[in-house]
Amino acid sequence: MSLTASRKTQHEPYVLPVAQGRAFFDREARRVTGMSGEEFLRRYDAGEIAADDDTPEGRETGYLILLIPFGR
Amino acid sequence: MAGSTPEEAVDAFLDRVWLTLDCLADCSVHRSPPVQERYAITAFERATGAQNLLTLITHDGTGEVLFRFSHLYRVTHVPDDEERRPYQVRTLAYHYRILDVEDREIALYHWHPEGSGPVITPHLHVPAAAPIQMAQPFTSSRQDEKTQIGKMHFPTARIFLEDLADLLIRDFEVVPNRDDWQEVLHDNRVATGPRLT
Repeated sequence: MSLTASRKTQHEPYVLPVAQGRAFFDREARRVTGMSGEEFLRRYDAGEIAADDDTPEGRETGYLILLIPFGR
Repeated sequence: MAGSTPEEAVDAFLDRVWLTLDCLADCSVHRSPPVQERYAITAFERATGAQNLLTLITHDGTGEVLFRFSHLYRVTHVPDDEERRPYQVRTLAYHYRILDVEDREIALYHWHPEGSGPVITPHLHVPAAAPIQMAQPFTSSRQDEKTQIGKMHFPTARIFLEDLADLLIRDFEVVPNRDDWQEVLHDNRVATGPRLT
């Protein structure tokens, strides 16, 4: 399928610069867990983070885990 | 989405994501750098700068509903697939979250095959659903027990962002951000092809 030129892409670049991505992840980690992004990643890598799909907090943690590539 | 190079495949995929979200709100879409060949996506609202939080206008401007999402994908090389060009974007997991303005969960579409929970196939949560008292046989000891609909994992097919946009506009009465939203969603679905996981 070819898209019409008028609605093909957005104006901004798709790739988020690393520093902006880390800042974004840090804000989300603090909002969801109260931890900094760095601390969340450290605890995630240590196997200390569980995303319990049966609680609101666990579901938001699961959402955050999928954003991890922004935080690395 | 497919492409003759990895970059082309990713751009086609992100074009599709942006066009779909543009049906809902004026926003930009961004991807992370690859981490172990995996990429995450987010969206920033242009008017407010809100990051991964789209405030959607409903009911002719009299209401609001929130949408957050996280989505993980990778690029795969399938050189023998003649119908789809050799590089394809494959979704690995998603969380699509429909929330009220106090950030309370209304409906959540999940697919997290590598998750630790008991359900790793695509499913729907409706946390806003109140417990119900299901009718039981007269002699049942469960006469007074409530069924927790809000804690269930309703199985679904693989859900696409286009499905969410459709749901939000039709049933949550989100005011579309663009007049050609139906055409955009239709074209994106055609481009996406079969619902492969």
